[in-house]
Amino acid sequence: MHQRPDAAWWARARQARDQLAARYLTHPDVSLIDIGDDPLGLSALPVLRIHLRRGDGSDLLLPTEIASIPVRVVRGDYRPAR
Amino acid sequence: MDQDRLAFARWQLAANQAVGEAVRRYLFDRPRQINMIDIGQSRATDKPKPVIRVHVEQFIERPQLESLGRRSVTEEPIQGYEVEVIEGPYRQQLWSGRGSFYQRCDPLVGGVSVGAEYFSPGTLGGIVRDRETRRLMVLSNWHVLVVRWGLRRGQRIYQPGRRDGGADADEIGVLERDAMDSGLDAAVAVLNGRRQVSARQAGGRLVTGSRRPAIGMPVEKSGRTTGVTHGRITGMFGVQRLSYGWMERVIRDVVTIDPREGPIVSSGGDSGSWWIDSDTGAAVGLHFAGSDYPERALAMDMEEVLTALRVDIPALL
Repeated sequence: MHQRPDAAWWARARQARDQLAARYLTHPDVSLIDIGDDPLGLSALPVLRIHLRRGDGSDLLLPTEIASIPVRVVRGDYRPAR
Repeated sequence: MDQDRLAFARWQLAANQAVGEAVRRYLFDRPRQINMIDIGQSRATDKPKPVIRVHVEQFIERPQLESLGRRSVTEEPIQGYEVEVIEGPYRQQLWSGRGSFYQRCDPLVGGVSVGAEYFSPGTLGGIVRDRETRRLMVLSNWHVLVVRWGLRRGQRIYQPGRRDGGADADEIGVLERDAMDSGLDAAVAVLNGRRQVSARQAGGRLVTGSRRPAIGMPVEKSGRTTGVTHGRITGMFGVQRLSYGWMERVIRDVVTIDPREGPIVSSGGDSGSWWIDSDTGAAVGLHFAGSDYPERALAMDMEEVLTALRVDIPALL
């Protein structure tokens, strides 16, 4: 289950998210980058998540972690809800 | 057990053959205006045995059928099955089809249909108050209240939305401002005062204010299409590229919500719904997007939305 990260952890995580977004958000397969539950269930703390419209992300050469925060791939092709 | 399954398989085969024969005889006979043929329960309560059901666009009287050189399908049992005619003018159920909360409401509550002049409806999230002028407004998405690039203040807003039956008399206000330039798919319309307002959401929940979302938080929303649904926050601080027709925008402070009870969290027409903390009643997110595979909803951090639009959630009953 979750550990509750402190403010310093969140600041570090948001910086790491910004790094990921700067590098990958313009990629056509990437729809969203956020910080959330580990889809693999391996980390007690939240992880960095890259939501992909298609593919498995293998061609993106994603880092396994940034600032000691794991990076995970999540499936997600989103549309405005109307 | 095996005998039951065998009997069922035999019945299924026979039923399929009977339906197939009915299709061959009638489905493409255009004057009969048949939409569908199936096998099912008779409308007559004293008939336990299934019947072949012929679903027609509209009933045609026997004399008219005879003038077309046809006999009524009910006169000709098919492979031992009686035949019934049912009126069934079916249509494609498009995404803009009516949802759970599309009626006119007074007082205005969150979770109901709202829309701009020429566009498909979304959801009226709830009532907010301008921090400076103290005027009451409704909060929803940019793509519900504004819709067109370049369109700005004064656009008329209806509850219910036009395509949900909203007429001229259902105008509730006009567009005031939006936050798309701040990376938030959000907008407010100032109310004209013709209807009462309430802090309630359709389905009964009272909104108690706002707070920051948190991972693991149980949440719920009332939406124009799917009604009241329940989720759990699984992600925060999202940065998203989202396509609005031909233009792509980056949306910030995205909150990810997965289903908690039931398979559905949201659908088309729920845009603008407020995600509410199930424990406290505080609004934590403004719904704006989603995916079906996997089922997932996206919202924007409500505190960020309120700040960008310079509004608060007032204490109302």
